[in-house]
Amino acid sequence: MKKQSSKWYDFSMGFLSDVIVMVHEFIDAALTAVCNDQNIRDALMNRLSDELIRRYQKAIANTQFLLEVESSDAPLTLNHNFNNNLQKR
Amino acid sequence: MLRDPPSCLEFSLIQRSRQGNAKSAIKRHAYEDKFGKLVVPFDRATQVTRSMSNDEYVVQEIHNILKSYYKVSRKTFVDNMCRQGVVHFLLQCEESPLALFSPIFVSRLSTTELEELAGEEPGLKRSRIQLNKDRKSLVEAMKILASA
Repeated sequence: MKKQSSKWYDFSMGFLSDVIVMVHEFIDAALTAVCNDQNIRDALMNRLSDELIRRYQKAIANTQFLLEVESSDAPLTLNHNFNNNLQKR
Repeated sequence: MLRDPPSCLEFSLIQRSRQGNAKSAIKRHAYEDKFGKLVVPFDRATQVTRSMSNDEYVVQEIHNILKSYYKVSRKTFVDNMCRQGVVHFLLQCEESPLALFSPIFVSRLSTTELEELAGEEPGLKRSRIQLNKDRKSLVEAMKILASA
């Protein structure tokens, strides 16, 4: 199971960081829309960024957890699709 | 593993479906005879199951199981990634980055912090105080002049 999910790490982390970038850009754009003053915006962003990074890390940690489950556990599933797939072969 | 209790239930199903598969494979060679019954030439019927040795069969079987498992677990993983990693942790949960900057966040800030964030520049503030003072004294002077 380690082998079958060996490439998943890169895929999922790449995907996740894409989304994080989007979220971050959105927050930035939203701040720009709400707040005209460059100085205040920078100050706010500085204040927010610590907590933002902590939350991004939480999402990354969750992904790592999912990957770990996928790569280390015994291949057990109750998903009925497993059976359906097997029938087709 | 796959043959642990929960999957054992499935295994019987799998076998039944195998038989179904074999049946349909044979059926492909069938044709109707003159009495309207389906018949299969004997050599054709054996051909379907003939071609695999024991080893090949086992390899094929294991490969099928792994492939099916891969398909299912990949779908589950992608779904989980999407639902948990992205939608929950990044967008919708109470603690998501998007929920950080909220009225609650602002109301938790102390006065000094607010001052730091959105207060005027020190120089500007100083000149404002100075100007206010000037205005006051000028008003005062006007009053004195008026009364004189």
